[in-house]
Amino acid sequence: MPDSHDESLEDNAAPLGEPAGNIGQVDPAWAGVLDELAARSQVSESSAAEDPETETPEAESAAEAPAHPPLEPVSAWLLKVALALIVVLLATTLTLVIFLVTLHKAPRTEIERAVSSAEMSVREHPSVAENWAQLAYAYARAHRYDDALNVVRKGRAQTHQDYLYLAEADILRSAGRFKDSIAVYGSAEAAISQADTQAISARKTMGIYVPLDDTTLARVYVGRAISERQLGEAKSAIADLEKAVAIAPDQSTILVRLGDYYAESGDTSKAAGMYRSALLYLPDYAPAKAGLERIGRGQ
Amino acid sequence: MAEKPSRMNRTRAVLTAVIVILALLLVGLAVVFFKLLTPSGLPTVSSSPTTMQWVRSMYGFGPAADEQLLSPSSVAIAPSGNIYATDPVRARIMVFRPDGIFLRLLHTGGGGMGKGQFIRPESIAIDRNGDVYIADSWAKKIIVFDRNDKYLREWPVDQQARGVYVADGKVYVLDVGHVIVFDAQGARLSAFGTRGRKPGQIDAYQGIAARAGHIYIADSYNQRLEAFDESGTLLWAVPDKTTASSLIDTNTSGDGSGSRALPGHRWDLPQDLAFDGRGRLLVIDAFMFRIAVVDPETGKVSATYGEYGAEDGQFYYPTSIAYDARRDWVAVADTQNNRVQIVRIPDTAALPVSALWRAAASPYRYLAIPALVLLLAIAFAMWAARQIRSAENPDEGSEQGEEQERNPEDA
Repeated sequence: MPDSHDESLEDNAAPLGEPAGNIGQVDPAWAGVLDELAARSQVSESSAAEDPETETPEAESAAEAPAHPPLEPVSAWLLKVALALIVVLLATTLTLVIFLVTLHKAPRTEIERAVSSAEMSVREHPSVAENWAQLAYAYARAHRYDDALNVVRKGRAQTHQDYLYLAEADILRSAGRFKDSIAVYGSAEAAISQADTQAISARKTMGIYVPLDDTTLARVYVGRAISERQLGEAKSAIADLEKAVAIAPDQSTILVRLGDYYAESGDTSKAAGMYRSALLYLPDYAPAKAGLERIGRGQ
Repeated sequence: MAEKPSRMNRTRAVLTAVIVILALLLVGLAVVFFKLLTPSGLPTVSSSPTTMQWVRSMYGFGPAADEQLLSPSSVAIAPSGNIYATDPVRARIMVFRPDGIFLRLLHTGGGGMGKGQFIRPESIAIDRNGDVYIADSWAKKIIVFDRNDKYLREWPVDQQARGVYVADGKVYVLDVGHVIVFDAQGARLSAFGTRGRKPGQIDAYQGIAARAGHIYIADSYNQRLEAFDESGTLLWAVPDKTTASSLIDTNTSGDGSGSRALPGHRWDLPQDLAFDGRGRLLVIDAFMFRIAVVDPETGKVSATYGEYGAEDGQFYYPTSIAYDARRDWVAVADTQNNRVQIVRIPDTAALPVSALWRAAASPYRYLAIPALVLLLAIAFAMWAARQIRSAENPDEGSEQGEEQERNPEDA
């Protein structure tokens, strides 16, 4: 130890094992111990100067008590962000509640009105199959395809009207499920054909021989043809449309669609025939004129 | 010592996880809010600045049939921006806010022809004070309510109150084949016109408008527009024809420039008129399902907007039109579609701040509330952090000052 420490020890500490009268004379055996004690006291003094909390007895007792350690800066910031988010969440929830309370149930678009009107109709007249079909189509227009399918199946169960198969098939087609729609169109075709056959025989029994005018079957064929075309089954699509035209030969929309499918398959003369037939019934029908232009048969 | 860093990391991880969860909740809530605000089945709106833009449709105040409009015949816009639409069959008027939210019904307890009642509100007009003037075609009178729906006064007309318009303190009433001008209290000031087909004669439904001493008539059954001065002198009639049998105006005499600015335009059943922000006439044609923009000086049509249909943004026998100058949009009574539509057509604005007013009327304005709270929360957090930092280091500022005093040369 340096001499300065010996001097400080002589000034400050009574030599151990010696009478007080022998101040200034330190037993060499105790010099090292005294040096160590002096060094430790210097360390504790300097740490007390840096950290006042451990200096005072109150601070020491506070340090000993199980207090939460202060957050380091990053955590403090994260806590503030979390609190801010909670406040915003509460404000948003409150705004949403106020908005919901003031929101009335009136429709805001034509589709919402179609849905709400159809829902009311089904609620008031659940035995009418057409109401279920209209509700299903309304849901489909609102892109609520699952709801539409649920409604049409429920309606079929409730009204036992098989023609609701057609609505189901149309909705599946609108939802892009073409393969499923073709299968359901098949069910619709069978159900409607059977119903038509029964209606015709009932009319014959009553002596009515005027042909049954039912274009529902034509709608089945048209719907199925559209799905088939989407799946690349051009021949089947054309065959179905030809059946539709046989049932409803004066429907320009069906004639034009068949003309389009003929044109796509390369049969432009048949396509032209369909377009011209459509113009016979609707002379200004723009899609028919456009079709003729496309295949180069326009005037 | 090694425990301290791991405790810090744990704290940070927990707080970060909490923040992520809260943020996800907030995003989820915002998505729900947005979906509620956005109606299903929105029409495809063209982004071209030259076409008509659909803003919103108002059908009523509920899903039931009697909670919705039925063949609304007239629409008017109050100075506050509230939209009044007649429901004539049910003897009531529906009032909507500019954002489309239903406000209230204006009715007289089921309708009647006695004093203070109305039975068939065919046409309405609103003055600058917000007073509502109703032309009751069955009771043959004009009845006035204030902006709070309190009855004010009424007075009779000659044969049938078909159309009403209020401007410059005067009330212009379209009766059968003639126009009557009253003051705001109902005192008769003047009248002119006779029923017929000749230019200067009138056979109109309800379309009347007035500005700066000129009176404009949508002469529906004569398939033309007419303009008069207040003494009844005809200023112009477009098309200028002596009979109503010709549908297309081919008259190119007169000022030499022809009476048509839009070649091939014909009037089919012009029903109502309104002025836009630039002083042009907006005329609704029920059978053409369109809004036409007309020069009030010449009667020439410069543009048409709209098309037939039942979808939002289309019209089906529209019969009335009104213009909101503050928000720069047009309200149309889309009669056969049983609704009122708000649409915008190009170049109608006079006020440059209309976009702000429209934003304030948007349903999406509710989303501004949580956004504002978020900004306030961030600002508060920053302020609090600053406060905490200065509390933790009170000597930081004084130490820096002392350092500078000790070493001024270094500075």
